[in-house]
Amino acid sequence: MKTYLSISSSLEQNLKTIEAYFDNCKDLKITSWRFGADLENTAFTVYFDTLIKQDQTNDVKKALHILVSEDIGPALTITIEDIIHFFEKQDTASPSTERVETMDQAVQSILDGEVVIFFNRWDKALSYAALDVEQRQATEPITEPSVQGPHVSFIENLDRNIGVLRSLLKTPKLKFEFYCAGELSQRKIMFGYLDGTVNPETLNEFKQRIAKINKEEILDTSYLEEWIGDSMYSPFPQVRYTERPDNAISALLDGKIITMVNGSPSILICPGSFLEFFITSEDYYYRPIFSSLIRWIRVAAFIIALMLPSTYIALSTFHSELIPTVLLLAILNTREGIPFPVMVEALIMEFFFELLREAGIRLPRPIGSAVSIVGALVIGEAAIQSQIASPVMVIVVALTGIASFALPQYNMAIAIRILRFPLMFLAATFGGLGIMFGFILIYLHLATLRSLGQPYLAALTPLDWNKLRDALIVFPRKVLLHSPRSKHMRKK
Amino acid sequence: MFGRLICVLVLAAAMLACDIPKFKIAAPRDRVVYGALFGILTYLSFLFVASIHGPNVDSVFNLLAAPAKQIIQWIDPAKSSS
Amino acid sequence: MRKQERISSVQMSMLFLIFMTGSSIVIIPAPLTGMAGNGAWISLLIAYTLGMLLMTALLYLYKQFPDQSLVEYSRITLGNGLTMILLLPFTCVMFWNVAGIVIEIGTFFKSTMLKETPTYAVSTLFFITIALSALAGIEVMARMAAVLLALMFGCIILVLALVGPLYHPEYLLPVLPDGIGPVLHAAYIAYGFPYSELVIFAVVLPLIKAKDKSKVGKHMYLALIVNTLTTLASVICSIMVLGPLSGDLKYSLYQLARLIFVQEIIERIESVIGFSLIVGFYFKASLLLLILIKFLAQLLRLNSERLLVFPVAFICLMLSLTTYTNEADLEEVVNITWPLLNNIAYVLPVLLLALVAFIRKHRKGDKID
Repeated sequence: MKTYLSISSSLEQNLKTIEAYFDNCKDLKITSWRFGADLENTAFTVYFDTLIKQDQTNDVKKALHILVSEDIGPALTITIEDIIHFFEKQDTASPSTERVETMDQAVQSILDGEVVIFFNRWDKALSYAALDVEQRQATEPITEPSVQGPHVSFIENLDRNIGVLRSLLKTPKLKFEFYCAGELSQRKIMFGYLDGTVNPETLNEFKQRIAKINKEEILDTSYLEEWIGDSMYSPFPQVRYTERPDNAISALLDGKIITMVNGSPSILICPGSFLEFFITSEDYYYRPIFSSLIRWIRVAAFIIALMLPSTYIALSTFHSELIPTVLLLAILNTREGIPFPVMVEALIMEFFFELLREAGIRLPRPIGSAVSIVGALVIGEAAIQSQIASPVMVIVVALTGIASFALPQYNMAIAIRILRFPLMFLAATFGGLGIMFGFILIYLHLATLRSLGQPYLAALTPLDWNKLRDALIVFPRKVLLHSPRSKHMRKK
Repeated sequence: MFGRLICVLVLAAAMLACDIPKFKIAAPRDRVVYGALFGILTYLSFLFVASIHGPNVDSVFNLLAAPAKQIIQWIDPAKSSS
Repeated sequence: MRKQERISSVQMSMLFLIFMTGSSIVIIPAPLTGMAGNGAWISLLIAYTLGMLLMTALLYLYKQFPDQSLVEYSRITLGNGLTMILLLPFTCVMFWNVAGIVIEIGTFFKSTMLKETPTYAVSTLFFITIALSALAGIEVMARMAAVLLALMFGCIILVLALVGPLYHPEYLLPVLPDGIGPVLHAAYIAYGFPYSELVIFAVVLPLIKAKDKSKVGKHMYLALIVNTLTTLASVICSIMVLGPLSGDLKYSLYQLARLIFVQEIIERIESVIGFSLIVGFYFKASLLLLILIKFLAQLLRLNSERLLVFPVAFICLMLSLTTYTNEADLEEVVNITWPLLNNIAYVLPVLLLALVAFIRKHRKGDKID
């Protein structure tokens, strides 16, 4: 409805229009008041009761206060001509008051949580901001806690979040651009980058993709992934998420583009490359040797989470000679009496574990402890006692689960959860050869994958030693900052 | 035999499912070549499923076996070719 | 059609290195030592020299026609008709070449690790992977090459190092017990597989990035040298460990891996080595399929080469399952017929082209004078 209805000079006309627009919106408050020497001038104020700060609802006083503070004249003697003269000829000096030109603007302002005042015999209106919606405190993010470092997170208010970022990176090179999407939700989307560090091609590609969003309702930052990501069918994520300002800042300094949506605390960092999913900002708060070792543990966790069940299946079914003899005897001992082949046993246990995981997300806290007991009893003791599963299998499944939690990015852990099962099938049919082929196929897929046009295996495959400085071994900052890491910066 | 037949049919179905969209937009020359390849494929699949030894590439290669043996004799007269 | 993919000359030489080493490192030492005994390494060096000559011819043609592939400059030099006649055996042999690799790997697994799995299941899995890789294009394959190369060479070095305690250098003598004949015979085999196969790279050399075109020669020669050194090491080590037995046991590297015994923990790891070695087979087969597709598309002047991938792969799969199913037949064709076949189909066209291009260039040079 992009009709630029103009505000009429007749107050009754405006009143009728507003009431027609907001028919049945019972939380809309319209207050009429008068002013002037003989109270001959009329006006009315419109706002959403639910959006406005409570202390500003005494609108008559507030309105007069504004007019008086503009030094038009003492309250009793203000006439409409004065008002018109002041606000039209001289622009609104007060930072919080704006002139509203069209009815569309007026409606939008009301929806945005502003108070709009219409005057008789003036075809414009005034508005001032008074938005106050419930916000929570910026406490530690639940999914990204840290031992050392700042314990702040982003909240749902976009302006507050941008403020946090600005206060941490004080440079005019930090650019933020806005975009509005969604017909009904009118969600404000922000993307930011560090001019001079970001790759111009990537930025262009990003802008082109964002521009395609128009009427879609964007409810959360993750909705944007569908437009920004290269392939929605790949199990591997092509973008990263974070709720911590320090993660976002280090991403910006690295030449990444960050995106955020009003109403959601998570920030999307793109383009993402495979090696980045093993990095957290915490690595830089500790000593380099320790961080490097922790990175290696994460890589090991990735491999374990992906390959442990299939390796166990392959080893016990096809290649028993690879297991040291003593261990092999122990395993065979415990497997005696189990009616299922290893593959079926593995599937059952994995399925139970996935069920437990899914149930655990939705449990209210009082029942939470009950579920851990149930989980331990059912999956652990009972399964073993009833000969559905062997102890080794329980260990394998538990290790796999734990390893997948060791990865800093949750969406990468999801990828591994999905890929585990095809690998198990391949291992059960072809043994070690199947695992090898699974690995080759996964590697082939990763090599074809792109994120915002950049290859996914960015540092590994076009072998870039400069980028690898931060991949698996963390070098001290002095070494890292010695020369720029991105190719396009080195060309300068 | 049945295992082989099922294997061939499944593969052929998968292949056609992937290729039919590409086939529709292909040039006529490409289509002819695809058809020819498909014809060769059918013949070879038949040989495979029925486990018979029809005329094949190895028949052509075996024609060269005799001259090859001659060459080896010439290179190394002491060792008779095994 | 996507824009033309380009790779750097380093990537091309990596592809070349995996191609040459991939399957030969496992298969080659056994027949060589079987024929020539302790002189097998001399045969390898002879074959290497011949390979070097072929490489020179290949690179000469590349310098003359830096942006055109084999089919294109053959059409320029020899004309359309002669090209078709000359390159028809090229095509047929290449079809079978892909199948041949898969037959080899099927035999390898059947005789060593996966004895109960039917051959066609393993071959099918293999061909699906190869087809998907060829579909991904040469740029993706070049990207994958680095890690796969490291994996393969890591395994080879690991095996050769861990077998160290079992080395008997005295097995290397006497050299040439039966005279030069067997050595030449073995050299002929080594020349047939893999050295003479290197000429097919004429199809993909023009895909190198423009700025790297001057460095191609250096990198390719280097790759060939590394390949020969590795194979040489493999041959020598297998002689040193297995002695006179090395000719009778097929798949020398695998046999060496079986002998590794370190402290009871690292024993019987031949399966792991076996699986890592198939990476070489896989990559060689994918590259061959890719080259075959590009070659067919150029020869038949097709618009889309992606459409060909699956049918060609399927044909090669069928070929691998219907030809030479008997192991004895396979051995005969590899040791006896293949070098001759290779020479007629691959080497002859390339040498002929090099010769004609050379003559024409100098004739033109004379005319100008």
